[in-house]
Amino acid sequence: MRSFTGKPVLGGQAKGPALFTDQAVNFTAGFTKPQNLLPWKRSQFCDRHHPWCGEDLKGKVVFLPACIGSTHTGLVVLDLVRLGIGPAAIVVEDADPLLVSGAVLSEVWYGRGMPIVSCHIAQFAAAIKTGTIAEVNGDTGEVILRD
Amino acid sequence: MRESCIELTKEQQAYRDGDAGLELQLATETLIRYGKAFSAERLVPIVSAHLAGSFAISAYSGYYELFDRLVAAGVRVRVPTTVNPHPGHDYSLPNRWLVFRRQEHHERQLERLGVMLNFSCVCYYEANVPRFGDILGWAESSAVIYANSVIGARTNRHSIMIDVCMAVTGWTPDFGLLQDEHRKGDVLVKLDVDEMDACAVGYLVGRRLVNKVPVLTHYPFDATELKNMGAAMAAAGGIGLFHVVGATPEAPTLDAVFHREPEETITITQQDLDALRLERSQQAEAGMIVFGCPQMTLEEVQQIGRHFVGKKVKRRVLFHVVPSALTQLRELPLHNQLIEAGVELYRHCPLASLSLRFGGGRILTPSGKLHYYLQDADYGNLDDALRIAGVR
Repeated sequence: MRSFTGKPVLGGQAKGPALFTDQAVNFTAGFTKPQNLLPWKRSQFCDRHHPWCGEDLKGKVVFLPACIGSTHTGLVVLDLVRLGIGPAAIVVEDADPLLVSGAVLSEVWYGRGMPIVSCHIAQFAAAIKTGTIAEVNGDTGEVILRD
Repeated sequence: MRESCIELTKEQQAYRDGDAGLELQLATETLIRYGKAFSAERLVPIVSAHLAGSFAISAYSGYYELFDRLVAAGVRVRVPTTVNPHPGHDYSLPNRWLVFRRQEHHERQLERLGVMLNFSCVCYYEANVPRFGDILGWAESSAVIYANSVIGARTNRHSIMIDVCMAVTGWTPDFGLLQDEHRKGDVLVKLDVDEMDACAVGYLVGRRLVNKVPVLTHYPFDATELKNMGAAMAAAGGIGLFHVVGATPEAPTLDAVFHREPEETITITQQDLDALRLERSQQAEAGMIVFGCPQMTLEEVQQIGRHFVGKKVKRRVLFHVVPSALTQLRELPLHNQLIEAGVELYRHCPLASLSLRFGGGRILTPSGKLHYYLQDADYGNLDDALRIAGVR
């Protein structure tokens, strides 16, 4: 078990398989492709410019450096969070307005939030392997990895 | 959650307490929690809003439910508010039936909320023109970066629905690009190019710098180039503000725009620009050439359109034009000349309309933004596009 502490951005607790990328993520490009119209592909990430292309993000704790791209991000993240079909929690180096807004909208209007913690993510690159489980506490900023 | 450190005015507190109704209470609460995540200390008034959520995308429902709730409660925008383009549902049956089947309803709801129906992502062209220093509550990444960088107005990169919350309350949390310290340059970008391609520069800067504030060395970019370059930076990256020394308002000199040494200096070379273009041998396979992401202004249609006058296109060529500019174009001889050349003129968003389509071949586009978002849109510079279109 390894423990890390970051800055709490949005509260709540979650646990799930850890997924790491050192490439910034475009949530709009990832989730608004024609295949995302299919009910069983709603949570499949489909941005051909990103190494996650083809990954299902549902229930995962995702580690990324930054969120990029369109201001449709909140529309996408709002549904991923309120319907429980997206990541369980997000650990991000630069918590930007787009990423945060989707989770805030879901929390305020639908009563279901998603923890977000901001911290240096390079330290996770070697620590996260296939099968690593991450626990995130969005109130304290604590991130725990278990193999 | 941590205690709010946002100080509210009397009116803001009343909204938060529900005196203006449940929907405005939640809109205010949204802005407070959103601001709190970025350590904002207050909500400040905005001059205008711009909404990105004009497409009724059928795979998503939360945003549209909230929109309907606000309209049903009789809520209206409190500041002048413009909106992004039509998705082009009227032009493709798959789009109409599968992707945007609730489009007409959503457009009626926009009207009921009191939104100006300009239907353009280039709202700053004439429908919603900010002045230097104005505080805005805008969504649409290409409009945000233009307003910040080229006009010197101030807005963060806000999401869909946050834009609505700002429009109906007239406030935005004070953080990020609203504050002087976040508007200074981070990275110096040197341009070592023989043949300028602003779109490709934007794409590469976005990719490499992700979310820094880039400062480009002087180049006399025109308004069209600045529009398309910024859009590409905001698609391939998360950039909300850039400067060009001696060309954009907050960068009169290098010293003025950096408050310390640049944290990094990068150089964009001609080779970098060329590497983004699809191999020449494969360009000929393109089935259509697409212009106008962001939509083309009248000047841009004139700049590019002149190459088509008296010619016939050899591929489908699509121009996506700001609706009001298309109306102006209809008064000019160029309009019929383009139609005679075979150019298709549209007033909707290529990104939305072309996302789902059957057949027609791959796309070649000189738009960095469209190249990023469409799965089958390859990049070519203006020369490539004109050559494959058969007019050069």
